[in-house]
This record gives sequence, structure tokens and C-alpha cells, in this order.
Amino acid sequence: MTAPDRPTVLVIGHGMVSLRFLECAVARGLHVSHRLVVIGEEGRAAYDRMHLSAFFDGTTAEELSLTPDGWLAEHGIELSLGTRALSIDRVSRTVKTDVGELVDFDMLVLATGSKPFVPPIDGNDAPGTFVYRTIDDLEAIADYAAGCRTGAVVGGGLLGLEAANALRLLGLTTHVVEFAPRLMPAQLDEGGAALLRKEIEVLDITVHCSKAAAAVVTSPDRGVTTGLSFADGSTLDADLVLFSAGIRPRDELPRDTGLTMGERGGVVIDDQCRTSDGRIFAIGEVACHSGKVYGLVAPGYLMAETVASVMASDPVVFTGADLSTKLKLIGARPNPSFFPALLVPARLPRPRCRMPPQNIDECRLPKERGRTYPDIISGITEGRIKALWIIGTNPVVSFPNRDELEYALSRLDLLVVQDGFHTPTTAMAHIALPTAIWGEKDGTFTNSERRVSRVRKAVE
Amino acid sequence: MKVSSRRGTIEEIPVRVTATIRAGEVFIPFHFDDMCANRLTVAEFDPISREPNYKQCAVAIAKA
Repeated sequence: MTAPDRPTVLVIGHGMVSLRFLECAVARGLHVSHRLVVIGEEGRAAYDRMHLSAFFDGTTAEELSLTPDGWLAEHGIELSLGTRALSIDRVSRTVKTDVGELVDFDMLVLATGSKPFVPPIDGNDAPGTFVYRTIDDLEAIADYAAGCRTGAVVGGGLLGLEAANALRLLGLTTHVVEFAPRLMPAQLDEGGAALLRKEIEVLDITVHCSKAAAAVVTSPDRGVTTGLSFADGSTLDADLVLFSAGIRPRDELPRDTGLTMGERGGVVIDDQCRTSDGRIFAIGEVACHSGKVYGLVAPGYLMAETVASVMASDPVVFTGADLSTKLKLIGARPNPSFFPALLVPARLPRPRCRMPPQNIDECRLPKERGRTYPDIISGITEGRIKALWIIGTNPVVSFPNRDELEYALSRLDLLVVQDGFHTPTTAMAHIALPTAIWGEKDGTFTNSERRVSRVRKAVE
Repeated sequence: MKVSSRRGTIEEIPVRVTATIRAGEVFIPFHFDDMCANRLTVAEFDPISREPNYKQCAVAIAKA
């Protein structure tokens, strides 16, 4: 079926981006024309790192897996798990592994991803401190948490919030500590962050912003974690501290082999995702493109596709991804607490008829009418909307032309979905939050016929 | 059966021939994730209200 002298493509790393590369490679027939070999450090085939906290909600490691049983073998892909690449020899074109093997390559794809950044503070390696990156990390956290009451997450970004949810699901009183004055400072503006904070606090997670962690406080007798101290002199009690304060590229291999590196880490790649050695590509969080290392999966997927297309001699170039995010809110079904589309109608009512909206006072309301529902979706496809917050609606089922809609939602850098139940739309969200539905609150809302409906609380 | 439009396909959908739907028409309820009618529908919207045109789209039916 296949030529014996096929060139070997060796992939180092087997996370989400590595798997996407393999999928793109198979889609372009590279598994026939080339030998595909993969080395993965973890003991598991690629799994969904984006939804790790589901692990604490009863989802098993098998369910988080993204690799269908037998898919790799079916396509002749050779995968070695639990194997770490130690060094690359660019002259003999071999990679040395920690099990003493030398693996040959004709082309190499670095997909080693990143590691959590642990701030260089006292006590950062004390018993009771953790990072949140792999299923092994989660298992260690779950074991330790059994003897704890309070947990603190250092870092209020996307992963930090997911980690906080994990601690909450483990039954800990949970705190999130963020250095910046607001949550998710890279993605959200003040108004968006204030809204998010409110929704997070509803889940009994306490948020502390503008707090610089100075040290992990440990018990004088046993040296175990008992809390955090901050630069402003204050302290917080916590039996468990989880660092989720950003990531650093796992770039030791390209660095040691002398490839051109980015100023702030990551191996430099061009628009075809090639490093300074034309035989070596890099994709995902280990790569530095135009001075940027992307800590998100979407640009990594784009790079994976680019490399597969370049190897198949049908190149699609990677020209970077825009990370400037702008929060757009939609709520196309009436929601009693928040409905921005109606808050800013096409013709604003006369000022004396307007009342300030209740319970969203901290949010900066838009001054002009935003886009309508369909124009928000087309705005995503055109790349003008990067983040979307969906409240109480399930467009994956209810919006026309589902394939196009799913494509649009998958392109978002940030998708927040709030609903009373898990839906196919919450399944696509980066952050899924609960919301009270009509039977759970008192108030009025405007229905699709623009009539005012009165609802009364029926259940807690 | 398999129902498809230019936009997408619903696989393995049960079909019933009935006199209550006009000849030449197919009716599919839209509530279901596994057989989602919105895989077929057109993303065209009313220019003023921006309501979607859910009610019409051309489909083909074939044996799955």
C-alpha cells in the first residue's frame, strides 16, 4: 500500500494542536505519502485540555479524550506515549528520547506546547501548591483536596477561572487572586470583566483583584501550605494554592539545538510555520510568530493546518491571529435580568420614559444600538468579533444553517455561554455559566411579540 | 432516510408519508439536536427585522 522509503514526519508533543495536525495530515493523504511518527510525554493520547474542570464534574479521562479508539493505528500513525524527547540532532536528523531511542526524521514538527508559569515567590513549591495543566495534575489536586477546606487560585484568566471551578467542584471554599484590576484582563474590558465577576461570585467563588501574591505561607511545623501573603501586606488563608498565572513555551528543545528563538521565548516561525531550520516546523504554544506566542488553541489549530498544507505542497499561510478581543453580548430570547438588544432599541425612547436598567449598574452600557443577532454571527465569520457572550439561548440548535453557525462560534477567541441547562451551545463555550431561568425569579420580561410577561418565582 | 439541502444533511431521519402535508413538501420539527432541521435552513434574514427565513428551503430526500 505504501512505499517503504516514505519520508518520516516526526511530531514531538501530543496535545490538542498535535492531534489537529495529524487530522489535517490524514485529510490531505500525508499518512500515505509519509510515515507519521508521534512522541508524547504524557501517558495519554490527546485530550480536551480546554474542558479539564469537567473531570471534577464526573467526566472521565476517557470522555475527555479527543482521539477516537484506533484512529491513529487505522491511519498507520505510530504513537509513543510516556516518552520525552531529550535532544534534536539536526545533522544526523535524529531525536533522542528518554527511553534511550534515536528516532529518525526527514521533517520535524515541534508541538511541545507550554507549561504553567509559576511565579518566583517564596514557598511556590511547598506541599499544597499545584499547577493546572494535565490530567495527572488534576488527579494530584483531587487527592490533596480531600484534606482541605479552602483553595486559592493565583491568576484570573480563562484557565484560572476554570481551575477555580475545579476547586469549587471539589467542595473547597474558593478564591481567585488576580494581579490586574479585573478578571481576564487580556480579553475583557472593564464592563465585561465586571459582569463576569458578578457571575463568578454567584457561584460562591470570591474574587480578589489588584492583588500581587508575595509568598505562599506555610505552617512552621510541617511546611505545608496555609495561605498566601500579598505585596500590600494582607493575607488569605488557603490549604491549597493553584498557580494559573499564564504559560511559558516548552521551548528547551529548539533552544538547545540552536534554532532562532523569540525575544520572550518560543521558537521563531515564518508564515509557513517553518523555524530557522527548513526541515523543522513548530505549531501551537511553542511557536513564536511575528513576535507573538499564542496561548490559545485556535491559532494553534490554524498553524497545524498550515504545516499539513505546506507538507502536502498546497500551502495555506499563517499570517497571525488577532488577539484583541471585544465583548459583544447577545440575548435573543428574553432574559429577565439582562437583555442588551432591548436595552438599546433601534429608536431610543424619550429620555423621561427611560429607566436605568436594574441590577447591571456596574456595566457600562453601550450608547448605540449594536448588531442584530444574524449580523453578530456574520461579524464573527468576517473576523470583526472575537468574543461573544450568549445568555439563555441555544443558537447551535435554533439558528439557521447550523454548519455555518458552528464554524463561526469555533472561530471565537472567547465564547461565554450562560444557560439554565447544558445545551449544544454551552458545549462549545470556553466558559459556561449558570443563569436563573424564568421559573426561578420574580419580574417581567418582553417576549418575542414585544408583550410584557409577568413571571413569579416557582422554584429555588 | 437522508434529507439534504445545499447547506447540510440530516442522516437517518424517519419519514412518514401523510395527507396532512401538501404534496411536494417536507415538514421537519426543529427542536432536536440529533436531527437538527437547522442543518438545512437558509441563513437569509428579513432586511428590517433581521428575522431568519426559517420556513422555506429546497431539500432532497434519499434513502440513507
